[in-house]
Amino acid sequence: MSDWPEDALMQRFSEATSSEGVMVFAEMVDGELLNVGRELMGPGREMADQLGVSLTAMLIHHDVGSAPQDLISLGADKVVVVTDPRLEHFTTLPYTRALSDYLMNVHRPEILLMGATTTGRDLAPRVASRVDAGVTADCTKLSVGPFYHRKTKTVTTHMLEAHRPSFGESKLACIMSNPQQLWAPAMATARPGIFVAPDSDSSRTGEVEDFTPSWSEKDFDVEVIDVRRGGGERVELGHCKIIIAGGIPCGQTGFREIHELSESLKSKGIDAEWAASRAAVDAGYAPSTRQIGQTGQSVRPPIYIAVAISGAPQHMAGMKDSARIISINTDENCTMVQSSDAAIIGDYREVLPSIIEKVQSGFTFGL
Amino acid sequence: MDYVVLLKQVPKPKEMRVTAEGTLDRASAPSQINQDCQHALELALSLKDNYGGRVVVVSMGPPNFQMSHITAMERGVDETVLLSDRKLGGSDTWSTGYALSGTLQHLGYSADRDDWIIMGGRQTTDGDTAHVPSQVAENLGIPQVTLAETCEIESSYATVRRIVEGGSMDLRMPLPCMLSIAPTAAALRGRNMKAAVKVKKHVTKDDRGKDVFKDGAPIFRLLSVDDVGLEEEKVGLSGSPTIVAAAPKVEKATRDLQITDALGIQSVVEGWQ
Repeated sequence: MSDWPEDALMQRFSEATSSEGVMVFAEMVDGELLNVGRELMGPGREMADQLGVSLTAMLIHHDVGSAPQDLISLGADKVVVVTDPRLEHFTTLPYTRALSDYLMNVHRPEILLMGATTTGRDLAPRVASRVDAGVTADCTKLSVGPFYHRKTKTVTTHMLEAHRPSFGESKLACIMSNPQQLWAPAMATARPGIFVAPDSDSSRTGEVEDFTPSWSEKDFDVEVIDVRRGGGERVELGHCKIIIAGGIPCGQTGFREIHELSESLKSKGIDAEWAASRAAVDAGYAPSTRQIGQTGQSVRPPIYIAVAISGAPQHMAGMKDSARIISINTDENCTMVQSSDAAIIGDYREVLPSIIEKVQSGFTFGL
Repeated sequence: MDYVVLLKQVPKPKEMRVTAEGTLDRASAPSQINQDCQHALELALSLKDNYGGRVVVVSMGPPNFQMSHITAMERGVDETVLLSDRKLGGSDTWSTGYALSGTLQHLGYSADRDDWIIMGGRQTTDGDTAHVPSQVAENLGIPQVTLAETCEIESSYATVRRIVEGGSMDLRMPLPCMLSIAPTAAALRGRNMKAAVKVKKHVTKDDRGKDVFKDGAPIFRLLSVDDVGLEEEKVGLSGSPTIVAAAPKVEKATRDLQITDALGIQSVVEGWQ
């Protein structure tokens, strides 16, 4: 990507598109900032520094509480706040109006990032079509760099490089703006749990700007009748030191033991949690809030223990970057065992009780 | 009432091969209706069962998508429409949203009619973006709900259950609206013998021996970029705002697997310190 002839035409993305700055849409649910918004302040700040521009965070909710200051402490130079009592629950149209109005009428950033949550994946493409922008889904790596377009012999510099796994995770595609259709902002959604939130520094200062979009009555045509979130429990697995995940063969009994192992580790002061594969969630052994994988959470803890999980690509996508993987499985040849650092070949019904016993007598996996 | 289904044909995920150039070898891979689109199709068929009306399938892709259209017809779909044109090759999701919405408008589906609803699968196994339903909805200027599981229709409203993190929400949507259907929705029904017999009259084999519709079959429409009146500069590789700049192979992280037992795990872990 970095080889081009000397006479190639050079242009900077932000200049060619009259845009400037990096923006992060920080999603809020029930008055709380989602972790993925904090995480995106990491690559957001890094890219803003590299480009020499400011980092703006955008909040859209009925009540933002202390979130603006939280985002400034995490690296935002500016926080744009859109509040309205009708914004309590996410619906596409008002959120699209708020973001697009700001992008089209107030300020157009060169890069716009969102979490690939159910909200972000709904909102990002809609905004992209409204403001005419390119958008890349589910990125796992974000950077900036140049691109040489052979056909037009043009080098566009300082462009978003949005990397995402493709072809069943065998390749990492780098998606960039098309020099023949150069529009800002370059948008990307990033999966929760991939990036690491920067350390919060409460001495940082920044500007808070209130913004009122020009609402249309039609923006509120969709009515939220009811919202049910599984027992109010939202499980953030991103920060855990050890995660014990179970597959469908575990059944209710196996999951009781997995839960017990996680509790035993917690009682030794270890930040442990239990989780499950998609199949186990579908079978009702665990809530979807604890699902690891492509349609669940992505994690990379120091230690990941996979109990009776064979390693479908969708599951591997959510945990393969764990520092150490230990599997407990009867099948030595399954993908999960073959992708592990250590494997205990055997029936979890015999293995788990003896590991729980070990933990109770002080073994904490070196953590 | 028309229930419009956006349907994509994809290579069977397990049989996807990569060409020497590193692109997906779509031509030779056995194909099927994209998994999530099957759920959308089922929802449309069940809405027709409950409320009456027509199910119309709309796709954008190469002529061999007719195979999936025939499969859909055998389940009870009334009509299929295929937007097919070399000019569309390489379209990203922004361009695809533009092209599909243009096709729908060409067919007469507009925001000011309330006797239709449109649905598509949440995402496709070969693209995995989940963008297209939202982008079609925006271009049509109609409301959307993604990750929908169920839908009921009453007068000019749809009541839809949407999956959110850790639960679900119920929404009341004015018609017309776009639903992207979650993979937890009902699975696609099997062939309906009566429908299959009816479709068979309109099907023949192409020169490669694949099933295609006969010329002039009244249940199938093949449209081009010009037929629909799309602006060429907004479609295809050059009309798309994003491009694949590179797609390097991912080096699989190699781990030195140690096989042990419940008693030996402690010393293995201690060896990592």
